[in-house]
Amino acid sequence: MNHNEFDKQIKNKLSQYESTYSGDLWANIEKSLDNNPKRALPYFSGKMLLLSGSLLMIICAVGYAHLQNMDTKKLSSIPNSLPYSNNRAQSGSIENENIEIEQSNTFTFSQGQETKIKKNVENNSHSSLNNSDSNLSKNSKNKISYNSKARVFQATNKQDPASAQLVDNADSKNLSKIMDDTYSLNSKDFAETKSISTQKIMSVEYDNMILSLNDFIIPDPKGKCPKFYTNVPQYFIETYLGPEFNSSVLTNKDSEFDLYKNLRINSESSLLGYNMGFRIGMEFRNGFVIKSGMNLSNMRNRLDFKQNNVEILKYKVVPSDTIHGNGTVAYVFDTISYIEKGVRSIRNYNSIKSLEIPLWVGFQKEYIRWSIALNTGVSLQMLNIQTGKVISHLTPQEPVEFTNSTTGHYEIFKRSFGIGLLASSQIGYKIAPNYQLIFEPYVRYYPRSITVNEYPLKQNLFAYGVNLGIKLGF
Amino acid sequence: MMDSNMERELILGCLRNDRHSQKSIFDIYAGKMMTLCLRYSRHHMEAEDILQDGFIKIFQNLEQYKFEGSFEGWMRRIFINIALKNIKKMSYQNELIGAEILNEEYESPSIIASMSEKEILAAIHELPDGYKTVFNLNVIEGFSHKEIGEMLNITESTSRSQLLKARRELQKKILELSKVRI
Repeated sequence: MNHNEFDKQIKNKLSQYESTYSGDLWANIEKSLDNNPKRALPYFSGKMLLLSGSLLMIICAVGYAHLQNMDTKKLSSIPNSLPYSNNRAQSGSIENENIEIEQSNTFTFSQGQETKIKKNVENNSHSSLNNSDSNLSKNSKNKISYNSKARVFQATNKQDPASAQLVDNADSKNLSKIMDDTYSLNSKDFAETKSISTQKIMSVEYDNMILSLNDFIIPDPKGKCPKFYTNVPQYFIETYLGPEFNSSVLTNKDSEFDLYKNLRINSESSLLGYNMGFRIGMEFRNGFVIKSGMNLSNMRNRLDFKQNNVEILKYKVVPSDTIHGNGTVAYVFDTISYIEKGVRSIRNYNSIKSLEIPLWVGFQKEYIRWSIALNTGVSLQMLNIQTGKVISHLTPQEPVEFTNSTTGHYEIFKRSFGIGLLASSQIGYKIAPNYQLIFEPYVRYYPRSITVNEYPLKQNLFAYGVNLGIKLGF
Repeated sequence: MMDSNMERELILGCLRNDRHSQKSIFDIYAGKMMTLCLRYSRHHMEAEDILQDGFIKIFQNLEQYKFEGSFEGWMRRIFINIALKNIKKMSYQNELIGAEILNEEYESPSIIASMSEKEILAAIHELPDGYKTVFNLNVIEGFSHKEIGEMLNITESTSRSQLLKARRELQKKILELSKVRI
C-alpha cells in the first residue's frame, strides 16, 4: 500500500469519528462564559466610538469656523455713512481727527517701505516716518494724514486677493479711481495692524459690500503672502514622511521572570523604521490648531539569539549495495540522522506596522517666513500587523514567531495597542504663499502594555522620530 | 449533517449570547472536536482542556466568523491553533529528533479497515509528539509542509522527514496491534 492510500484510509477512519468527553465539560464552559462574558459590543466598537468622537470634534470645529465667518459678514455691514463728520479728503489726502492708533503698532505700506507709528497720547508726542512714496503721520492732535500719492490702501481677502478698495465715505470720494497698483496682503506678517481702530474713520468697499476694517490689512510691499486677516480659520493639509525609532520599557509581573526579561532586553535592538501620513486641519485666528488624518508607522527591531552547545540534528545519506542471487547489484540509499553539538545563531528582523488615526490640537505662532507650533493629541490604532520573532517565555526559551497574520503564532502582543499619546513641535518655513516645509520632531507613547495579559512581562512602547513634509494652505 | 440555515440560526443565537444556541453548537461538534484534540494531546485530560478552551474561545470570538466558508472548518482551525499552542507550551518539539529507521513492510489495506477508529486513534496517540503533530497536520488536516514549517517553526524538509518517520512508526504500531489480535 502506498503512502497516499494509507493516509487516505486513516483520514477516512477519523474524519467523522466522535470521541467521548466528560459530562461536566459543558458546565465548565458555561461557568467560564459567565465569568468572562462576551463583549456586548464588537471588538472594533471602541475604535468606532473614538472615531465618531474625532469626527464630531472636527464637525464642531467646522461649524465654529462657519459661525465665525458669519460674524465677519455681520461686521462687514458697516453703514455707508461714517459717524465721524471730521473726515475729509483734500487734494488726494484724507484727514481724520478721530483716528486712534494704539501703541507701537507697526505696519507697512507703499512699495517696500515700512512706517512705524507710535502713540503716546498722554504727552501728545509726535512721531512720523516718511518715505519716498507715502507719508503717514500722527501728530499731537491725533490726526493722521494719508498721502494719496502712495495709493496703497487696497485691501484684499483670501477669496479674491487685491480686489477691495478703500472709500472715504465722508466725502463720498472713492479713492479706488486713482488706484493703479495692486498689492498682496498678509495679515500674519502684520498681525499688529489688527489693533488699529481704523474702522472709525474708514471702511472698505468690496464687491459693493462694505467690509469691516478689522478685516482690512495694510498691503504687504513684498507682495509675498496674500492672505486676508479675518476670523475665518485657515484650512490646510499636511503630508509627511520621516525616520522613526522605537524603544520599549519591559517590566516583569513576577521576579521569577527576571532572567527572561534580561534575555529579551539583551536580544533586541531598535532599528530605523519609518512614519508617514497626512493630516487635514484648521488654524484659527488665535493660533489654535486642530488636525486629524491617517498615520502609518513601521516600528522595527532586530532579534539576535545565540545558543551554545546545542544538539543539532543532522542527516546523512548512506549508500549501500545488495547483491541479488542473479548477480545484479542493487544500490540502496538511506538517510540516517545523527546529533552534533554546535552554536545556534538566529537573527531576525521584526516589524510592527501600525495604522492610526491621530487627533491633534496645538498652538501655532506665525512669523513672516517661519512658524512654530506645539502640538499634542491622541492616536487610535486601527490596524496592527506584527511580523518577527521573539524569545519565548516558555521552555525552551527560544525565538518563536509572533507574526499575527499566520495561525499558531506565539501570541504575546495585543491585536490592538489602543490609544497612543502624541506630542510634537513643528517648525514651518514658507516657500510660497500657501506652501510650507515642515520639520516636526515627535514622540508617540502607548500607555497600555502592548503585551497580552497572560504574558509575564509588561511592555510599554515609545516611538520617536522626525517628520519632514509639506503643508498646503487653502 | 446539519442544515446550513439551522447552523446560521445557531451561530446568530450564539452571537446574541444565547446559552441554548451555544449548548447546541457544543453538542453538535464536541465529539468531532474531541477526536481532533485527542490526536494532538498526550492524554484524555489534556484533550478535554483543549476542547474546553477551544469552545470558550470560539464563543467569545464568534463575531470574527464572517459566514464565509465552513463553520466546522473555522472551528477546527481554532482547535488546532490551541492544540499547537499547548504543544509549544509543553515543549513537545524536542521529541522530534532521534528516531530509528524502520524496515517493516507496509500492512495491507484490510488491516486498517478492520480496525476501529478508537484503535487507530490510540495508535496515533502513542506516536512521539513531534511525529504526531506533523502527521495530524499533514495527513488529517491537509496542511502543506510549508505551512507546517511555519506553524511549528521548523523547516519544510524537517516536516517531510518527520512525516515519513511518523508514517512508518504508525504502520509499525498498527501492524503490532493486528498481530496481537491474531
